Amino acid sequence: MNEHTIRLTVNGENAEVRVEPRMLLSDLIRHQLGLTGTHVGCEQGACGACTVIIDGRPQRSCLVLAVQADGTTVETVEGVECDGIENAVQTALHEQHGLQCGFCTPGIVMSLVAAHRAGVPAATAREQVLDGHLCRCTGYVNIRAAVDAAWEAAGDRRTGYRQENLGQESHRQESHGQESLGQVSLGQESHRQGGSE
Amino acid sequence: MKPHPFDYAAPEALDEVLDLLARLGDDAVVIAGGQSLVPMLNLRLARPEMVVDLRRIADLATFTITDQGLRAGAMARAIDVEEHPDVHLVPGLGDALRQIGHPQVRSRTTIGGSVAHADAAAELPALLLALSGQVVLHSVARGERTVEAADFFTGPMMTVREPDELLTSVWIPAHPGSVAVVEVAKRPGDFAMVGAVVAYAIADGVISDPSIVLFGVSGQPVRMASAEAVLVGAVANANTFQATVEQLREEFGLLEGFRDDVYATGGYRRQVAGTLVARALASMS
Ligand SMILES: Cc1cc2nc3c(=O)[nH]c(=O)nc-3n(C[C@@H](O)[C@H](O)[C@H](O)COP(=O)(O)OP(=O)(O)OC[C@H]3O[C@@H](n4cnc5c(N)ncnc54)[C@H](O)[C@@H]3O)c2cc1C
Ligand code: FES
Ligand code: FES
Repeated sequence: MNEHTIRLTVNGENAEVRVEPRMLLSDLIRHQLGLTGTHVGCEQGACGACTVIIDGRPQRSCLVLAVQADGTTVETVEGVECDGIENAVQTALHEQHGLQCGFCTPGIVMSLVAAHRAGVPAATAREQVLDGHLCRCTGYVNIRAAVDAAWEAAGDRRTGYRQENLGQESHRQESHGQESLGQVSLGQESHRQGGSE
Repeated sequence: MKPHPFDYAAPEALDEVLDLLARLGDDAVVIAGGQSLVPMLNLRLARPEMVVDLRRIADLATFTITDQGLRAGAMARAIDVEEHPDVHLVPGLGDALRQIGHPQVRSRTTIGGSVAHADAAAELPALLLALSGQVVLHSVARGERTVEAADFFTGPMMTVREPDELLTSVWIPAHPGSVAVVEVAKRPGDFAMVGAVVAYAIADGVISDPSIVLFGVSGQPVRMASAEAVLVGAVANANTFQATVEQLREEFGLLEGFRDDVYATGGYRRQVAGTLVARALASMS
């Protein structure tokens, strides 16, 4: 088979592996590296269970070919450290009953950890970051509560230009500027549509 | 399911990519962010012989935003443009990008990939059309050519790009007035069932440079020219907007290949398109 040798850092350790081009990063992580904390639900990018952090950004490992991850730094739920925001997220999910079967949880942890590191405020994490995850058990209420609890425990780090952007945005919404329209009505419309079915 | 086997190359030079595409044509497919291609590979809807990765071509990943517009290399990532402090210089750009999937998907989605993929319900192609943008293509056979957005999209996931051509950059000019990007989707992050990009400016007390594009309603984003015509030179008030929406609903009935599917009937789309455009117009005045 036409295999490629790739080198990447996974949870702080260097890995050199041979992979077929068609191997997904999620399968490399689970089957070759044995890190089965990364779950696979849909392989279409929709459910979020496979979310890992690649070079600082939360991404779907089922939509990345392993060969594309050559030279990157990957963090999975196994690499989440036991202090700071990582622990705050996991503790909050536990204490707020933010999980039942736990299938969706590793992906949610990775998205939230990445969001907090990037200075995303709790409200944005609750709405936009969690939008990217499906949970069949909890009904989301307790996961949302866990976001607030984690951010409160770890401190709402208001840093980075992401925050400036969000500041402008909320200002625009207050002034009913056209820039806010897409976001505002997107949420409302989606909600209404969902409710009428 | 897992993808069918394929060969893989990640060249460091643009010329190498173009050579591969010239040699392999339809048998090769480029991968940008992979957020549409990898699902298609996983479902075996795509079975290419060779996947050509653009990730090593550093020039393609750069972008600049000025008050003139966005010039984006094909591999500029949606999330990087969305988070850029100057994104507001191109009205509508941030709003369009933020409605593409989820942040976890936008961290790989590329500007070029979204435009080349040309999904009928995608936000960026609609914005490109509404703002009269341009697409730059490169190939060994034809060299460089620039295509106006109005000529680029030809149908569902179809464009004038030939199989041996690479989309290298996109130009989205800044509109002089306001731009609204609105949509109705089943859930936040889903593709739009119906969406609209609405833009106009006010000059000497009347409307100028109007643009109304619908997306998700037929095979490609469509400009609603007769509805736009109602706006030209009119005063921005409720009467004008009502006349515009009435014209839009008329024009909608004439659209070819409008979507009537499990997600929504054609009648529903027609109704919602009018409502979305009405709300957008009212919010901008
Ligand atoms: C869960 C989910 C939700 C989504 N929701 C939306 C949404 O609401 N709106 C939306 O617009 N999109 C949405 N998308 C798709 C969007 O995220 C894709 O990323 C985008 O359509 C394609 O960009 P890409 O960079 O990932 O391209 P790829 O997936 O890498 O490529 C897509 C296609 O374009 C071709 N291509 C890519 N780049 C070039 C180039 N430079 N030259 C020539 N051909 C090229 C490829 O060969 C391929 O055929 C969603 C995706 C997912 C997984
Ligand atoms: S398995 Fe990757 S998003 Fe569902
Ligand atoms: S806890 Fe079971 S899917 Fe979320």
